[in-house]
Amino acid sequence: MKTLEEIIAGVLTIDVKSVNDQTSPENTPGWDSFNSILLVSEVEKNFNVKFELDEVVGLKNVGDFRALLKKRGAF
Amino acid sequence: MTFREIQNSVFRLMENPGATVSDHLSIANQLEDSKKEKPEYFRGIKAAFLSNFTIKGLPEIFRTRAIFHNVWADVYLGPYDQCAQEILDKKSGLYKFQPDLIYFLFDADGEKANHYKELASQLSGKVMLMDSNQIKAVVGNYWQTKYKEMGDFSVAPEGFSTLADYLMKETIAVSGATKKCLVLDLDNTLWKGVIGEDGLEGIKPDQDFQRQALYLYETGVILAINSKNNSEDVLEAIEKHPKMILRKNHFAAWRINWQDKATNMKELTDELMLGADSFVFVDDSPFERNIVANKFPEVAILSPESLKNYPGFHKLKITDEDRRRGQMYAEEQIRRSARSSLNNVEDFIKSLNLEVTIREIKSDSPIIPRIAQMAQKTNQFNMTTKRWSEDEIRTLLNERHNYKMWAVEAMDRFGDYGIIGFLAAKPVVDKVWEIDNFLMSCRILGRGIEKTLLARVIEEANRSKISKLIGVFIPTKKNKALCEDFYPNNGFNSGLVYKSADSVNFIHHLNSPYPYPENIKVNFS
Repeated sequence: MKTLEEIIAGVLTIDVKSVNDQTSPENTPGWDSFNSILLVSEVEKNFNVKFELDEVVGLKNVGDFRALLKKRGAF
Repeated sequence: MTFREIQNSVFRLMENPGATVSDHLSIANQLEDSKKEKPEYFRGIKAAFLSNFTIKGLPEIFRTRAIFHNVWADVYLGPYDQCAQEILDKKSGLYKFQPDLIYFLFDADGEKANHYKELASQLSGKVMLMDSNQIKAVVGNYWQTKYKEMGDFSVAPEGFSTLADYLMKETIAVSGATKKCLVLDLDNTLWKGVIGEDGLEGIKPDQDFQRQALYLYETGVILAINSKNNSEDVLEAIEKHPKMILRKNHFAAWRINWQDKATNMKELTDELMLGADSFVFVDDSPFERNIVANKFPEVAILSPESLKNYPGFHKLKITDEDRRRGQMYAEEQIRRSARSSLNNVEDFIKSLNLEVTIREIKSDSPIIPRIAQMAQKTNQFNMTTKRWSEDEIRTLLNERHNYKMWAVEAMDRFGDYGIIGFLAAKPVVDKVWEIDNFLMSCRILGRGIEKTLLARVIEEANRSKISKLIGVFIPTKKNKALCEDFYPNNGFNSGLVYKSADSVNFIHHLNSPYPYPENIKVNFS
């Protein structure tokens, strides 16, 4: 199983060390809407969870993702 | 990454049902750089994707998975929800791309669905149209999920690999990458259980799996066995187990021994005289699959569960020859045993009672689909490897091009081969004809049948007062062994005048007779 940071770095093809909770589409070149959707899909598969639509539409950055995964008991 | 590494990564991807979109994309991103390295057995295709919903990522997943099928796919994705503009504007990106095949996927019903069908009917060339119901039937739970709301993904990105595999069948057929031979493991593949331990009573034939293989056999796929076992145990089980669907007479060749399976695979390709790129190997053991994959990146290697949705055997049309091929190859197995009991090849050929019928092909001949199919698939005895389609053949037969074409059909005392060879001659200048296409199915080689076609064209050239017949040979890796010496050995001299960079020309001066071979009864129709 990959870590959240590894998934994000993989999808965005960026260095895993550069990923932190503040990383977001706003401050990351290449993070477009397609990549956001891919991220949801990859994270669901990796952590074996299924998010509801209203849970994912409000996500703004990596920190939000982590909080959501915690809430759903993924780690 | 080297191309071989890409092939290995794609193999692991196909082995892993949990592979994600980004697993695919990370390989897709490296494809373009390795394009020049792709092996010669790769087929090419330009596939365009049009859709009224978001399928971003699908074309990349598609071309990545195409590598597994020995197909290099160049892809084009039409702009989001602009099907009408793409289709109606002849200057659109779609037409610039000049696709060999267009995938048109739409999510709509009622009037709107009719609108898209109407649009699709304006496209020329090969189009694979999928409506909502058809897509849903393929992707199941991935249809209309929250991803629809998130970015108009009617199919969730996770469902793309399933969808890509379904779409792949058309690409395989159009590009000519259709597989010819299915090699099966036995224990826990053809049956549940291990014959060596459980005995004939203890094994349980997997009838669903066997029916799939039987269906393929009936549509022209050659069956073979590659198994680690004692051959007596196995052949007894295949013949005697009451629940078996496949029997010995369905198999064209087998290697049932204790050698490693890659060596067995090599022997099977030699025995059946087919390139390894036309083989599929099914084994329940990941270990065995890996052994064969390491040796043969061109073989498609599957687990038993994946045979059901495997697209690699898809053909554009199933001809009568296809329906009989499995049987013909199995008959060939009996011929080979007969051969080893005779002293020399000539005696063997004589004993076959070989009989051929040479048919002149006209533009309305019902056998043109079979000719086009052979032109797509034949590699080894194929002088020019010109992959003519049905339409091209019909065009070449019209008055403007004025080609002469003949097909040859063969039978012997063991069975009927159907149409197995083809020759096309065209007038080039006054009194000169050129053999532009000349091929023979490999299972029939070594019996002199190709000479009957040559004799026929020479006979016709003499009758038409032609003074020179040019035999063209365009070398490839695969046709060299069988084609290189054919013209020189059959009365042609090396020609200089028509030599070009990629072809070699031989000239027959038509001043010496070229008789039909003895030992073959020749009919004309």
